[in-house]
Amino acid sequence: MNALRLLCGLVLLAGPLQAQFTSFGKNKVQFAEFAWQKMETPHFDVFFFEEEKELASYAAHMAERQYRDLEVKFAHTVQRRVPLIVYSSHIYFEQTNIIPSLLPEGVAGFTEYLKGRVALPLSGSLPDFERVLHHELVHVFTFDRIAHVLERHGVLDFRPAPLWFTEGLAEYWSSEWSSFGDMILRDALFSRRLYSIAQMEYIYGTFQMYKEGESICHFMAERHGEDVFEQLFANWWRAEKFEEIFQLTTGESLREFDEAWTYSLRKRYLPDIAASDPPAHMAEKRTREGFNIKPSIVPTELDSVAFVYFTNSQGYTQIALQRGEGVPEIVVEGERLPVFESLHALSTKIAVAPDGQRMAFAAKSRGRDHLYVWDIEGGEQVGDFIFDDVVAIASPSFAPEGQRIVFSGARQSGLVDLYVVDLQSGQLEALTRDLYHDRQPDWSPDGRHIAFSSDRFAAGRDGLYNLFLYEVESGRIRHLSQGDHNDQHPAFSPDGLQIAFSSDRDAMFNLYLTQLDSARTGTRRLTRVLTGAFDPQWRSDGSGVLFSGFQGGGFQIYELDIEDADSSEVVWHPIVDAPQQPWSLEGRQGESLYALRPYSSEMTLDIAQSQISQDPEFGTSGGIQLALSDVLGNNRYAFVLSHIAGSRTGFFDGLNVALSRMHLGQQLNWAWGLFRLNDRFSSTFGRFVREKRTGGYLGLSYPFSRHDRVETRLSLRHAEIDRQFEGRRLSGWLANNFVSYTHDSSLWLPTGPLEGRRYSLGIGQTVDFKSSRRFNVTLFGDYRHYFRLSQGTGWAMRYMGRRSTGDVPEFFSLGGSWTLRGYPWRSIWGRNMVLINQELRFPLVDRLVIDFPFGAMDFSAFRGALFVDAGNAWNDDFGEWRGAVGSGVRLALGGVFVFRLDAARRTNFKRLGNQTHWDFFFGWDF
Amino acid sequence: MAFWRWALCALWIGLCGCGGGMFYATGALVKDAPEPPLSLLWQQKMDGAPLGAAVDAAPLLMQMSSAGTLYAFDLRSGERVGKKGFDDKVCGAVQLAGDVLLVGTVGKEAALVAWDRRVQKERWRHAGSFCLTPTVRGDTVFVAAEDGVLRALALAGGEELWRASLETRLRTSPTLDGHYLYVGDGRGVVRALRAVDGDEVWRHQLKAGVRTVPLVHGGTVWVGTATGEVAALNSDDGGLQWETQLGALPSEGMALAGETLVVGAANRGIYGFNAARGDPLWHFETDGVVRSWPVVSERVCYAASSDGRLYALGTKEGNLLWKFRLDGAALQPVMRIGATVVVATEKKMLYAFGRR
Repeated sequence: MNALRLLCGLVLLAGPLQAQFTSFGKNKVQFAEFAWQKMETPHFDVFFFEEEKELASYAAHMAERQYRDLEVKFAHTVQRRVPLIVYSSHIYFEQTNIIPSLLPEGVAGFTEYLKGRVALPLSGSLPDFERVLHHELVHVFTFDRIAHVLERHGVLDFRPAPLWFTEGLAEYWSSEWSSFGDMILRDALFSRRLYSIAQMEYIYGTFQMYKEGESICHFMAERHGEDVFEQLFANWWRAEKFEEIFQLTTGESLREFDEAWTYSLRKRYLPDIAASDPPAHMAEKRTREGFNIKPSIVPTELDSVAFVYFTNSQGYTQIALQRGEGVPEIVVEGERLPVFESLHALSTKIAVAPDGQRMAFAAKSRGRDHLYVWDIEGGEQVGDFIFDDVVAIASPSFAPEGQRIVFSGARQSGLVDLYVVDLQSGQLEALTRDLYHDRQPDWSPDGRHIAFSSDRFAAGRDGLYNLFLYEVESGRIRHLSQGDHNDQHPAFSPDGLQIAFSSDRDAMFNLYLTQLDSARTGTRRLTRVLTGAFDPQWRSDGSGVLFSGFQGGGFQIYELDIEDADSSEVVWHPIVDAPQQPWSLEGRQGESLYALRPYSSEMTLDIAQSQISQDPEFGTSGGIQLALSDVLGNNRYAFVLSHIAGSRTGFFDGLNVALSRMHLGQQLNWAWGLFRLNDRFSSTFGRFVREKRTGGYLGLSYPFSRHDRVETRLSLRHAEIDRQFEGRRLSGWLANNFVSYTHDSSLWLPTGPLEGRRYSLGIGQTVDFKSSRRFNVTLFGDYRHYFRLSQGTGWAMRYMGRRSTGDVPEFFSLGGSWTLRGYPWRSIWGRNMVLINQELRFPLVDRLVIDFPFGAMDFSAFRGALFVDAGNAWNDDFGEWRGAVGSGVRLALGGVFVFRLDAARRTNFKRLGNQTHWDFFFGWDF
Repeated sequence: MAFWRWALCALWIGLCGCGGGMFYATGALVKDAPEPPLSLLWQQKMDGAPLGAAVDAAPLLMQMSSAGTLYAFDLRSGERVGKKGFDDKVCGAVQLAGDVLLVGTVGKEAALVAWDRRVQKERWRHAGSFCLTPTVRGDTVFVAAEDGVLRALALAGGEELWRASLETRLRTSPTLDGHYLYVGDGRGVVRALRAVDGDEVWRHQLKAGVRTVPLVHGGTVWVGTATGEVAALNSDDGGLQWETQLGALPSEGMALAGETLVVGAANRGIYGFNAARGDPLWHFETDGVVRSWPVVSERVCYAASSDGRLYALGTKEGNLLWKFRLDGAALQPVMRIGATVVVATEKKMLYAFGRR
């Protein structure tokens, strides 16, 4: 994919001006630059930067230990060194150029198969980092084992394992079964959303698929022995389909196994309903649309409860304010502008000041997290804090006087500690500073304590969390809840005598209440939900709590009266001092024995391919394409050599060569290239041009944020142009440059954008370098706005114009499914062009599976459109507006292809044509 | 030279009628093995990675490749004297019984194929998925199918003499010793069956599926399981003599010399145990998975690892005596054929070592 994009880019860069109109798309911005180094272990090359040296050392030891574990599990040795790239923060991880796609916050790591690289960030928890690393290394072993078996038996085509199996096995072999797994499966079962193996495509790539896959692997090992996986891989060459491999390995059909697995889940989980209920059955549901999480009470003088929370009910993640039973108001709009590029809804919470006037939240902006203070009523920002030493910020909580905020912050090393910032002076104080993951702090109403969740106890090494109490005056840390379970989201009651929290101590995430005594705590259960209850927040009068509840595959906010709550027996525990160093890791700073090397941007092959083709118009053509890049993907080369053997041309006349070099390791991306091309090609307006051109180019792209960038390119070429369509021949040294500004904050469905904006403005010119004769000046503008009307329905608008002036102007075309429907593809052309589209996009069928004789095709979306188009392309005389009205359907296949069928009638906006024009094409909506 | 080549080729195609040696799959019981340090006598490239152990067909050595080609080499010079390709996908090690080569194939017409190397023709085929190495005694072939059915076939015509359904998957070949066949299944049941009719004599349940070919000697059956358990059973009644834990999947087979039982494991280890009591005697750690079946004599044990090395260890103490760097991982059994130690790598190279 990398290489294909690169090669496409190369062709564009070497092309004439009309190919240079900027394409949309969001940016991967290199806000931070790092001096990379390499640590060499027996089986890994660990790539890291100086600030995360300690993390790299931990990672190196973890990776070697896990390698040995997986070597035993797979009974296989990976016969190559594995590149392991570690990032101390998800923010840095999102900058990676190892893969071209943008990385959502939910991605905890990935294994890339082109060069077999593993990349992952530290999310704050070292045990969790270790688990993710283990997960990714299972992928490395799986891929290598399958490749080895296939190669051994001369099977040329790679037979990948189904995703549910690879991810399920990676989960199964990297961690113990967790309460989250139970939550997902129990909820799926009770909400009738449990998908069998045969239906796994419906939840392809989702967290539910991971957990179902993990459960299936558990059941597989239980039913057929732990070595069933080793046996499956050994038999991988013997059949093409997983079902066949499974059957010949186990003697059982996958269908029978599938039935046995779903039956086992019913047997396991159905009895739970006798003692528990879904959240909606035991608490009042306070939110409805979309995904709503992390409530925070806003103290008011009204009787009804007001709270702020994260919501994605309108596509983007936003902060909403709910007052009583009223309609939610959007207080902060996230993910549209650089200033709130991400609100980290899954990993942080919103803090409301005791006066109820202000709230604080963390948001990512331009490559690091900011702590924002926001006037709730005024709807404006009143504070913006960034800290040199803190890259990532989460879970702020106000001190009772409202002038200080405690939060958990990640240093550049990736380790997460508690910090307090004084809002007046901006002064930052670290409360903790060690390798333990201190998170979700909550300041007590009397200001004397901060409760937080941490892994700073013996079982924390296994990824578990307990509650701790930080004494503000002395700095003493006390162990509040004790046990081998996960306690999280502590929240002091308004009187400061109790703490509500979420815990999986009884195998499900439920809310608990602990009473604070001077020397002990008494804990009782508040809820018995079947799935999960999280993020408790007290009502101002202490009579109840709001919480995030999981049900039906999503989160909503619920309200629970304490007196209606479950009243289990109180269990008392003494409060003890937290251990100083409950656990440590192999590879502490200074202990690493592994060799360090400076990073060398050594180029290795990404892709090499050749092809030969026969075309009645263009003759026989063949060529090779090579793409190379370094381990970090920051430096890239692309090379294309092709030849078109025309009967009337000499060998060199048909030779095309292009070399391109790109550097993506800094915020300013640059590329240069050299080319020698001689082709007859069809221009964008469907007429033939032959051009022999030799030259080079320099391109620069500077992204300001994920959404905005400016680009410029300068090329100098010697061109011999035969514009066959107008009978003109031109030659000379041509200098071509352009500059453009592009914005893209759109949100997409499988068929195209549904919400947000995209626009691009630019100007370019081509000049005969020798004679200073201006060939052309070209202006272009493209503005698209998408309004979401409901969850799946949206209104899309596009306004586009282009104009080229000069002796040798560029030409632009209209017509076809992507521009002016109802007219043949590129049938209208001229050196001026204007286009307006208005389109209503709506869902028809969420998922459509069609059984063809060769197998089933799964269309992930089947949508409809009603449209009105207007536009024209002209040279001197505009003529009249040409237009079309019509409707269409779109089918998305696998996120790659979109089939489009449009029926349109032409109009000049005075009368409607009688004839219906049908147009079948591929591609996303504009 | 020409004469020798002719003579060897004649042996390969079996014109002289003497055939190769019979191989009984009773574990790697070796009276003696060449003492290290060994010299590389020869190495030969094949068209695929090795499939199973090399076969002793003195003066030839035969090796099946994963590409389905059976190679014959002159054991002394390493000269390739013949090769035979099979049309079907070969899935298991070849077995040689006189002039008959027994090969398991998979695909649409999966079968055990008996190929007469003397007349260069298929003699018979028995339908089924037989990827486990058959065992031959006299005129009977004992072969286990993966689906858990054990069969006795007539070597001459392939007729089924008896069958015993074990109703579970088999992952290792059976071992014939005396009047009994010993077989371990995928659910951890070790059985002794009468070789004459397949009737079960005893069974013993282990904790996990059996993954080593049973090694039988002197009234004891040793087996290893998927979870790394090694157990010694009384060959008369299946009673447990001792059991111990390796901690990882054992090598495909174990080997015995004197009182020392040697087994490799996926945790990179080669382990020596007291065969009578199960006490650990020694442990040697390689740099890779040890799936390769070791070969052991009273004084020296040869074992190969996925780290690409052939090791010679002292049988009594597990001390490293010698090692040789191969061109790639060695996963298939090490064989001792006469005074030659043979091992093949995943890089499709067959090595022969001996003393010059």
